[in-house]
Amino acid sequence: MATLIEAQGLTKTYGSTRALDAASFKVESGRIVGLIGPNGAGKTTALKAILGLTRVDGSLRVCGFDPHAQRAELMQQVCFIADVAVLPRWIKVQQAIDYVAGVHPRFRRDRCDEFLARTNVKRTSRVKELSKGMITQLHLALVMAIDAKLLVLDEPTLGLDILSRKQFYDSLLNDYMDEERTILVTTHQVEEIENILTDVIFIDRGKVVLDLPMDAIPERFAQLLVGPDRAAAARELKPLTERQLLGRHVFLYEGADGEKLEQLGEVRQPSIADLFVAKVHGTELRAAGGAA
Amino acid sequence: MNAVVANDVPTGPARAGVLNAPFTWLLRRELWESKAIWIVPAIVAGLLLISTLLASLQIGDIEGLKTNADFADKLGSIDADGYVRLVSAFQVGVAMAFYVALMFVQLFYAVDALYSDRRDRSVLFWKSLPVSDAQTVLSKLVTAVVIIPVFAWLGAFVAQIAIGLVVSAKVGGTGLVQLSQLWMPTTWLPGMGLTLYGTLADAIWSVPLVAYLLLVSALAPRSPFMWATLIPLALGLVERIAFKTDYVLHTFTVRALGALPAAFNGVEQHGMSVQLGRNSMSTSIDGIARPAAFFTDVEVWAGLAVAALLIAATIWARRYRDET
Repeated sequence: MATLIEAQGLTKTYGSTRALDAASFKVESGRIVGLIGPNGAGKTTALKAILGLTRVDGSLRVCGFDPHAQRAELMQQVCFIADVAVLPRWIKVQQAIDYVAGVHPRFRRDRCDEFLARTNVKRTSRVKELSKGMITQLHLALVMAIDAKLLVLDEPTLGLDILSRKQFYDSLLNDYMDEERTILVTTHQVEEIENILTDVIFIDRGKVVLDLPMDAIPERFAQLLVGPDRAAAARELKPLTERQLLGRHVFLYEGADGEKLEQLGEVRQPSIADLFVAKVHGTELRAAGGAA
Repeated sequence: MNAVVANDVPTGPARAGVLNAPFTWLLRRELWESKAIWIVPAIVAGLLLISTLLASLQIGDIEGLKTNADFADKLGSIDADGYVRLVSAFQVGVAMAFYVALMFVQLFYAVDALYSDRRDRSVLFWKSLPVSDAQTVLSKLVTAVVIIPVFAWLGAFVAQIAIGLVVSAKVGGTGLVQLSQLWMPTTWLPGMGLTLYGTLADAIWSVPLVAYLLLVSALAPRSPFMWATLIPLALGLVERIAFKTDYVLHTFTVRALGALPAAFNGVEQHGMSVQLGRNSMSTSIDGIARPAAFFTDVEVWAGLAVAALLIAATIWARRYRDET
């Protein structure tokens, strides 16, 4: 397995705010990595750095390239769909296909045609005449037809209805993903991608606060549900968070002894959202309180 | 060490030839987006042709002219050189209409070229493709100083031929004009050369102004047109107050008015306008163009040197301007 992205001590400051603060992480090929963090945590800055759209301090290699110095070469290997990287409204569908085919040596026109044939996107339409869902389908068709090593998705389904969102991820998994490909995705709708991710990276205030494969989550984290009578005993095992749900207490543990937890009550695997609240949200609230 | 960069993925069908070169696709893209490049010359040609047709309908009585012995005499006495002079003057006149249109198309194109994709936020889509910022900027420059003038010249050429045909159809039967002489290639070639030279000179002359507009369009947070206008005005004002001179405004004006004063005899610049000198058209057309003087003009080469710096700055701006 090759390392596609290797980031060491990425730092980027805008004025007095640190968008990235010595962030280090690796992305191996064949993985689907979720980059998750609250607004302003540095996700977008990290993605922009990876795509060569902004300069950062620290060391960063993507597909063996220095992204900012070698953006054009890098873009032969990397594709991205971002909420902010919209298709130009004036372009016709056919022109967009012709253009990408013209400038991208790894574009496979037949694959793009095949994918578009399954949609309602007409080739003679201009992008401004398409619905938001259709624009995303077109963008996805363009990107999926490129033999890229890394696909970066930044809020790719923002503003789409639930059906389009589901279709989007289904297409990615069924028609695009294979062992050779790697996806790095950020989204606010964590629940939607939870079961397709192989790795998660939590980023908060510019720092990487969690970086692990999905299958390592049950070993490391556990959620415990107990009645009020056992709450005190559960608290002694040093949970990360505690909350109440329908009269029961819900605790989240990191690195706790599974057998001890089982004796107290019902143990579950926490969702990414639960982990997010434990690793990011709590600290975020404290930080907000301190900064105010 | 790192196998990731290996090009092991097949690269699709073989791509060869200029027509399929990535840079050609960048130029095509410009023509798709900025349709004014070919629509404006087409409209100018259409308007000129329509007015010629209307005029030829108005002058109903060609036979009447024949009875005017003096007039018929004059037309009859025109020799081959006379036809060349007549047709060249006509060609230059038609070309002037396209020349004015060209300057506007160039101005509006360049000032918007690196701004429109930032405004509609498609810039990140374009940057998601393996096209360097230098290629992007150069494609806009080539469009402004090569493609736009070529379309203007083509428009002028088509209009000249079409109007010539209309006029020939009108007067052909009267015997007033010798059509065989009128349509000799040698009658048209000098004027074609003249307008071609004028187009080329103007394209070269416009490079620094286009480069300046491209830089503004890459940098302006909004309203690039306003910035492009305000910067020289502000600099000019500062210069006026500080040094009591007008070099900045003069330089911008000279560039904006085009290459005619620098490239042709008998065309002079008076303040903010260009005027034809007296008798400029009545002299032999050989004397009008002055390519030797133009291509050795320090101002031309200094302009190109400044343009190179401006283009380098534009590429830098396109690359480093942080988009959010």
